[in-house]
Amino acid sequence: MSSTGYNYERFDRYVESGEEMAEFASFPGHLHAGDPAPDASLTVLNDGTHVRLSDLWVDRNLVVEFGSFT
Amino acid sequence: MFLYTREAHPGELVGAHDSFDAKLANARLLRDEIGIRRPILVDDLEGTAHRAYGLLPNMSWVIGRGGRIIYKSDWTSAANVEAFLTRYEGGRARRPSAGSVGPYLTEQVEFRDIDREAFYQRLQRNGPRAYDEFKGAEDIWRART
Repeated sequence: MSSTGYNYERFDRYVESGEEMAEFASFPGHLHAGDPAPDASLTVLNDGTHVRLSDLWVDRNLVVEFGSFT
Repeated sequence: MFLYTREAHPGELVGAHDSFDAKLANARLLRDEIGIRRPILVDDLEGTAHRAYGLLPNMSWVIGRGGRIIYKSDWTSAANVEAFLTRYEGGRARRPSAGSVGPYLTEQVEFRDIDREAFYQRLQRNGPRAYDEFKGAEDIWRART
């Protein structure tokens, strides 16, 4: 588990801890085009239902942008 | 689709999620304040999906029909994703031509536009401390180079 926790409170501490740097450094080696996509269960914001990524990619190319309010 | 993760820059007004309800409330701001029209899907509080894909704050991925990764980027450029999809779908459409079209993989460095002023405003919208902490982080990054 990380030193700052997943839902870190302070961005500067998260950077200072080296976690942010480690995550960017790992990214190129983690999962590649051609690999099976990890599946996940998510909550649909508009109606609160649950959906799996695999339900969505079954019949389309699925574009997934990850992000938050900033 | 937009997959909502932890708040990258928590502040006094839009903070780190301490419950799933808080995470849903923040996710609604994306739809209601920023005006995102794409479906917004919310990861669990522990960030399971976010972790599976690498934990970066604004990645874009494209998963091909059937569940293979066909595009990954560590930051998001909508223009780059769209151009990729045009090429990819064009290539797929041509493939029935007996052996004359085949897939290949690349890795490449690309450039994206950054609107720093708009980003600073978004930090302030999360709360003054989100802005201050980002400025603190800039000092840390600068010291590392």
